[in-house]
Amino acid sequence: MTVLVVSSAILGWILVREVLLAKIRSRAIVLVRLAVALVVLGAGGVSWAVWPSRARTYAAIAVGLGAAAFAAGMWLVVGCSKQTILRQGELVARGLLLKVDRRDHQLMVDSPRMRVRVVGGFHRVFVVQVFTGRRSKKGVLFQKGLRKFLGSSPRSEGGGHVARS
Amino acid sequence: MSHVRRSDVVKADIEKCFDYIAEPGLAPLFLSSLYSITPIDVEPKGEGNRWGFEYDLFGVALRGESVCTVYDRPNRYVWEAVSGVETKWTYTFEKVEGGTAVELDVEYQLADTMLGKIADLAVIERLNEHEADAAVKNLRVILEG
Repeated sequence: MTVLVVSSAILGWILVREVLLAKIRSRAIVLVRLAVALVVLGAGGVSWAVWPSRARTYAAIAVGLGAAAFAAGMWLVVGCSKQTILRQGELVARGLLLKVDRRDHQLMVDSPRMRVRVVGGFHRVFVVQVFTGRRSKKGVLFQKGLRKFLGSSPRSEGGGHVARS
Repeated sequence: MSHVRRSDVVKADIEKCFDYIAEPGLAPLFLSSLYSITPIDVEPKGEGNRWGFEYDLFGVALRGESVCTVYDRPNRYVWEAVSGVETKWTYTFEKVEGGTAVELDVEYQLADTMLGKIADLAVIERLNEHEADAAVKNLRVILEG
């Protein structure tokens, strides 16, 4: 119970902040894997409040799904196209002096091993799997950079960054 | 004006270090609080280049415009904010055995801004020191990788 209440409060803060900032700036909304996990947990908390008789079931499902989303590195990107997501990922990888292979739905970096895969979505709402090695310092920088580059993409399209190719 | 100065040896050519740091669009990749850069006049590279920036300080977005004031490849690169906040970033490069000594000197003045009036300057100083430390560390990760 405490976990869900705390998660819901954190979730609420993250969502309000992200949505307001994106609204003010007309930018894309990017929820990284922790935020996505909290969204799932928060949904579990709401379900608990609405259907208290099924509390344990919903809590278990929410915790399971939240943990899975976190472990799989699932991000939620709202407000830009699949092409923009991949293009910004490519700019970040090249900006970090990495050799990147861009394919239809994903970006792959061999060394250190990283992958950005657009798992699915519709219109301008996409679930994106971002995988980087846990101990890779460049992986950490890649994730931070990708969040910034996607978060600064105008919702009308394109991106605000200059980067050499 | 307050100062933060940091230096480190990066195992990379001096030209490579200079070219990377003097590309404004790449700065959000090694400056953790710099959120985004918007090009205004960035080609050809050199003094007078201008770009917009968005800096995230305690969740508060500081926006402004910067101009490159010194572009002395590969020895010295300086940019200053011309609106938003008062700050000047000086990068000095020196060839040393095994790489390049990169020195970062940040001058900043927040007292006249709204943030400076409400924020604890000691906290801002610590934040800037942390930012400079992180910048030098990140540059090593990127350029030596």
